[in-house]
Amino acid sequence: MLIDDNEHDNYFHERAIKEVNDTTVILAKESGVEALDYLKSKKKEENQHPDLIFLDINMPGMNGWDFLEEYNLLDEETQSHAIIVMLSTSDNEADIARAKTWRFISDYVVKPLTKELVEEVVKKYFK
Amino acid sequence: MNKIKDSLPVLKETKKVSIVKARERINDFFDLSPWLMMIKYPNGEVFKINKSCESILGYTEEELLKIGLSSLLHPDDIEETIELIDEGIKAHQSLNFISRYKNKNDSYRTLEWHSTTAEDGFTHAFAKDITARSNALEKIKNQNKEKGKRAAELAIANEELKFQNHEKEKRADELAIAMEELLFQNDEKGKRAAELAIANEELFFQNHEKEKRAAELAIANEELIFQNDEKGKRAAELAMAHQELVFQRDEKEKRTAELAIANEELLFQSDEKEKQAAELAIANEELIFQNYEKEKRAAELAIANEELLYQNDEKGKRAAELAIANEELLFQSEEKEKREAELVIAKDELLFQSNQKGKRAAELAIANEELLFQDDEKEKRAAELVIAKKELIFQTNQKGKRAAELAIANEELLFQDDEKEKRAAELVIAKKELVFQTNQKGKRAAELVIANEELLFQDDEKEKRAAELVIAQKELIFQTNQKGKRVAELVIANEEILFQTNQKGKKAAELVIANEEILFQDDQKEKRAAELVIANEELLFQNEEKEKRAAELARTNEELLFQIEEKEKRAAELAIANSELKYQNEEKEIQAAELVVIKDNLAELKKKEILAIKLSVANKELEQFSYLASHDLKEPLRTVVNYMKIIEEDYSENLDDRALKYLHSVKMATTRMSLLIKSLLDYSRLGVNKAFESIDCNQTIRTVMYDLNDMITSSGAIIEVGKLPTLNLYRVEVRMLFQNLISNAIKFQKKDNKPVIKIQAEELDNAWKFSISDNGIGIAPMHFDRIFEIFQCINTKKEFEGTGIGLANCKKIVQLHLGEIWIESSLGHETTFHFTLQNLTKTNEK
Repeated sequence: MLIDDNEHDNYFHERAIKEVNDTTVILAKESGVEALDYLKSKKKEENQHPDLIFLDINMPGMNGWDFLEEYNLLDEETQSHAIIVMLSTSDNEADIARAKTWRFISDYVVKPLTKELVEEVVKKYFK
Repeated sequence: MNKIKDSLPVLKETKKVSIVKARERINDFFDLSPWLMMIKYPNGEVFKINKSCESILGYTEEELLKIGLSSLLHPDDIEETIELIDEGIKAHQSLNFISRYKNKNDSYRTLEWHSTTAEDGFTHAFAKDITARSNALEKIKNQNKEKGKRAAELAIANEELKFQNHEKEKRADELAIAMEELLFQNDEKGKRAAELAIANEELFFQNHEKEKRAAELAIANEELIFQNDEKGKRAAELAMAHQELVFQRDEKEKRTAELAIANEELLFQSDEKEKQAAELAIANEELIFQNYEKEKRAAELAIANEELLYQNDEKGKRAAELAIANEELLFQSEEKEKREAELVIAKDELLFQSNQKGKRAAELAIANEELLFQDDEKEKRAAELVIAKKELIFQTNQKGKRAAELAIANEELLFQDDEKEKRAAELVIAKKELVFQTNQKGKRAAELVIANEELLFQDDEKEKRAAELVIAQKELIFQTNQKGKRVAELVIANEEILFQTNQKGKKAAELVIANEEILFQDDQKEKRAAELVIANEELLFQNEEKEKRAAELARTNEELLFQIEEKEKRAAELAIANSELKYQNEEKEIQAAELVVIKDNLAELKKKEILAIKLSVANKELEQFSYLASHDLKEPLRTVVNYMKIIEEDYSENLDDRALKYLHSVKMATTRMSLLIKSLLDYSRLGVNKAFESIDCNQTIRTVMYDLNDMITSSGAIIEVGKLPTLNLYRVEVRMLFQNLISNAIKFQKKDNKPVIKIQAEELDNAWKFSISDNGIGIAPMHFDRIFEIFQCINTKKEFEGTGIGLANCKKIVQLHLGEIWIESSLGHETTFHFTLQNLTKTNEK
């Protein structure tokens, strides 16, 4: 699942992921609220849960941090053990450190998400 | 050997063998003795020495006999030893001494000699080699000496320690004293604060007293009004006097006929009147004289006041003085009353006199009835004369009383003098009070203004009183003239009476007529007696008036004096107040100047603070702006880059070379833009991390060289690093600084030129100066300033790649460390970048 308000970024990142494995099902949500609604709706359907979530920080309304707080409140079932990778324009050390404080943030990647980066993430967390 | 032989007693031959053996043994004993044994001839030459001389001194017997033992003596011992030996030989004494001898190895052996000289002159001596012992003893001596030295040094060190401890104690005492002094100064500050509070209280008190003085001034005004009333009364009295004078003139016309006895009595009375007139004149003169003396005293008082000009008087004194003046006025009024009482007594006495005159008239009637008996009348006249004498005596008593009154008046004047002296004493007391109240001068200016107004008012009143005085004096003169006129008139009347008595003498026969005339004259006498009573009353009244005027004169003089005093006091106060005002004005000006200076300083400080705050705010805004701008610029740029990439990936087959070239250009531009934005972002982020740490610059250089490893290897650069310090710096920024400068040094070279870079550091007063020099293309001096501006490149992009932001970053970083950066270079020659970094502390970090 890609959670990013920028449709262009979503398009690029989709392409990048598809280049690594074009069978991947990619869901693009343009806000944290939409993403949470989806997760809640798919609570019972485990095979519909995303395995990997790329989460943008800078979004209007509910930004990445707010989403994480809401996500934290969800029960374990809904959380579904997804790997969450934060994705941001900012390479600010403060943001990286903050990301590390969340136990379900697995990694932090700076945009743009390239094919190489996707491969790295997959290698790290899915093998 | 011979000696031994000779000394032996003669023995039998059989014993020769044993003797020979004994001799051999004795010789062996002699030779083998470890001690040195010696036999000397009487002349001192050596007869024999044993073999020990070889072991001890290294010489054989033959050698020793040749050279003589004395030649081996230690130079210091020669004299003493030889002396001893000679004495011993001469005296045949046993000797024990110690001497040193040089052995063949040129070292000295110490020998303890014991020798005896026999009667035949031969000396037998043996010596112990005590060299070792004496050396040991010497060593011990030296050790003891050194011990003694060390002990002395220890003692000196101990004394120094004691001295230092003593001085420490002294310093501690001084500190205690200083603390006490500080406490004492604090106490004194407290005391001064208390004194200031007391002074403030005193100022309040003086305000109260001011008000009191105002009330007293009102009272003085009332007194002046009262005086005006009294002046009116005097005017009324004067009118009364006028009326009485008219009445007197009428009665004078009635004094035509009198009897001889009555004439004598009238003459006598006129004599008495003349005397009274004379006395009045004298009294007037005395009054004038008294006035004159009073004026003198006034002058003296004025002089005394002048002497007192230098004293400042207070309102309390004025009040006291006013009170005293009031008391004096009261006292004087009392005295006036006394005088009035005395005058009443005098009146009574005069009345008594008039009664007696009436009695005389009755006696005259009796005399007239008994005219036939002139002798009886004469006797009666004699009796009357006696009575008249008694009356004279009585009148002299009255004169005495008047004299007493005058004496009392004098006493009163003396009393006034005493009171003046009391005032002087009070003034002395007032002086003391002055000393106590010197701090109250500030408020006297207003008081002095009021006092000045009062002065003016009182001056007016003075003038009025002076005019009144003049008028009173004129009145006095007028009254004296009138008295003189009365005296003259009385004289004329007397002359007339004389003439009438002559006429009566001629008409002695006409006694009946004369009796009738006498009767008629008796009536007239009674009338005259009445007139005399009235005249006496008038005289009394005039005396009263004189005395009143004299009292008024006295009072006015006193008031004059008082006013003079006050005038002078106020003048003095004015002068003092003016000088004080001047002084206070000067102080105020100084304080105002100081305040202005302080104000200016404060204003400057404030301005600086405001500027500093503004600067920091502006800097923060700038940093924030560049951060946001670069951050927000990144996103659309990224979109462009990505789409360009996609286009390239997906459509490169469909595009011709030109389109691909365009795409490539766009790609280059976007890459460059991305780099610029990143540089801008980095530039804005400089100095955000405010924590400085201890940085070893050598380690920083090593890190930078590791990071630039590819660049260094590919260019073949040689980097020489000198000894760099460890300072408190911002880690990331300093690394960036060195990285920028070193990469520039490697980059800006002629093609294929091997970069040679030297890095050095030098310590300055409060900073370190770093120098990075290279053998690159050089920089023209005109570019030195511009090169540090952001986005300024002085070479084209074709020649050298760069964003133009590196040196701007370097400048910012150097400034962050409170330093400066500058260049030494010229085009085509070596370039050196110098920059200074300060060791950051909590006080000087930005």
